[in-house]
Order: sequence, then C-alpha cells, then structure tokens
Amino acid sequence: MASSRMVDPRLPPKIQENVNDSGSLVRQIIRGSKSNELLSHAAKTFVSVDNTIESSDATVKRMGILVSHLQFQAEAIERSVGEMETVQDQLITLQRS
Amino acid sequence: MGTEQSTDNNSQSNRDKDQETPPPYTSYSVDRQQSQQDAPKEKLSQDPANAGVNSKSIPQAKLEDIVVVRMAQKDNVSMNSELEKLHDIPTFLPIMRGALNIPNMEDPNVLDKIDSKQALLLCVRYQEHMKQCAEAVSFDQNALAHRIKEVDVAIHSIMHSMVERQKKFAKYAEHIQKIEEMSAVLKRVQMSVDQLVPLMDRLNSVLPDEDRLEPFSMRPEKKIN
Repeated sequence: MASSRMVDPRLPPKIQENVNDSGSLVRQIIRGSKSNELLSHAAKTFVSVDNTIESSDATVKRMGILVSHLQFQAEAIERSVGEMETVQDQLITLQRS
Repeated sequence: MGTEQSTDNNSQSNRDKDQETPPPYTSYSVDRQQSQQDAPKEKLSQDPANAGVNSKSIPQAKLEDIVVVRMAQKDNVSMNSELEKLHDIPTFLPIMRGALNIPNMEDPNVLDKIDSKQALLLCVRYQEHMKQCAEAVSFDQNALAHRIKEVDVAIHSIMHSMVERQKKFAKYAEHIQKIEEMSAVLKRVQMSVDQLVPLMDRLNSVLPDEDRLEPFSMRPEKKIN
C-alpha cells in the first residue's frame, strides 16, 4: 500500500495532489462497495464446494458400476427362475418312475 | 499589381476602343476569363506591348503542366492489431471540455467546472451499483453451493440404498445359482437311475422269490416301524 503512492518528481505538486485525490476517490468507491470481499468470499465457497463435487462424481461412477453388477445378477436370477420349471419336471419324472 | 496592370490594359483598351480593337484580356491575369483568352491569344503573340506587362504577373500553372513522377502510395496495412484497435476508437471529448487546448476553444467552456455534488452522486451511485452486482453474484454463488451440497447428500443416500440392494441381490443370486447345481445333480441321478433300474430288475428276477424286493420306485416310502 505504501508503494502505491508513486510520487513522480517531475510532476508539478498540484497535479500530483489531484492525481492522488482521484486515486483515493476511486479506491474509496471500490472499497465502499464491498465488491472485493463479497466476490472473494464467493470464490472461496466455490472452491470449498469443489471437493464435494468431486466426491459426488466418484460416487456416481461407482453407482454406474453397481448398476451393471445389478443387471448381471438380475439376468442370472431370471435364468435360474426359468430353470426351476425344468428342474421340477425332472423331479416329477424321477418320482414317477 | 496584377489588377493595376489589368486596369492599365483596360485604359489602353479604352483608348484602343477608339481604334476599334477588342479588350486584350491577358491569359496571365489574376481573374482568368477563359472564353476571351482564346480570342486575344493570337493578338497577344502579335502584341509585344502587352508581353512585358504579362511577365510581371504570377504565372499560374495549369493541371497539364504538372508531371507526376510517381503515384502516392496508399496506407500499408497496419501490421499491429492493437494499432488497428487504436484507430477504431472514435474521437471523443473529455467531460471538462476546457481541459483541452484546442486552437478554436468555445468561450463558455472556459468556466466549465464539474459540480461537486453531482460528481459525488455519480460516485455514490457507482458504488451502489458495484455493491448490488457483487451481491447478486455472491447470492447466486451461495445458492449454487447450497444446491451442490444438497445434490451430494442425495447422491450419497441413493448410493447407500443401492449398495444394500446390491448385497441382497448378490445373496439371492448366489442362492438361486444352486438351482443350476440341483438341476445338474438331478440329471446325473436320472441317468444313473435309468441305468440301474433295469439292472436291479434283472437281479430281482434272478433272485429266488423269497428275497425279491418290491419293484423299485423313487417315491418316498412310508417307513412303518
């Protein structure tokens, strides 16, 4: 902040004062509207949320794998349920003989 | 100079009029009169008195006298994109027009000063505007972060239920796989029974009647104790 007051020795003093005044005016405008703080706060919350997003992404991918597992098992169960009919028939023929 | 000489010519022409000659307008006079130049040109060449008067007036070059050695070059295409952008900026005046040093300054602008109250209002308004923009952005940002967290919680709960369901399914599937085993076992049993039953019957028939067993059947016997 101290170095921001760049004093050019070639400038006449009154113009220097004017320039400094306009600089402090603009700085007041920027700091008065707390835009800097609000925006930096928003950026920080976003960064903190980034971790959450990553975990959600990993979870969703795992869910996809689970879905494929489930599908496989569902097919196996369906097949076996069809086999049950044949097994019952076999049992009946065995018992009859 | 030229005009004096033209009046001299006129005075001469007035005198000449008495002698009935038309006014000799010189081609080198300041106010050219093209239509009358062509006529007296012939007379000029014949009239040496006017030639001395002519040399004092400034000869003005005509367009045909200029010889072009090389045509003027057009602007080269400015290489720099930044220079082009600088050229594209339109000319504008600063707010306090008296701040410029233009040769033709408008006088009322010399006393041009910016009203401090209005300038203050402007700055305050700008500050307010920035505050509102920042607030809108941060509001949206916070809403987004909140939603993301909610979505994450929902995803985790769904994942939880899915994992449980997957475990159950794995158990059932493993259970039901036994049916395939059973069917394989039953097939083998059937085959072996098919092989054995005729053999047993043969054996039975060979045996004497006392030791004959009942005809073999797969039905569960009721054991009578």
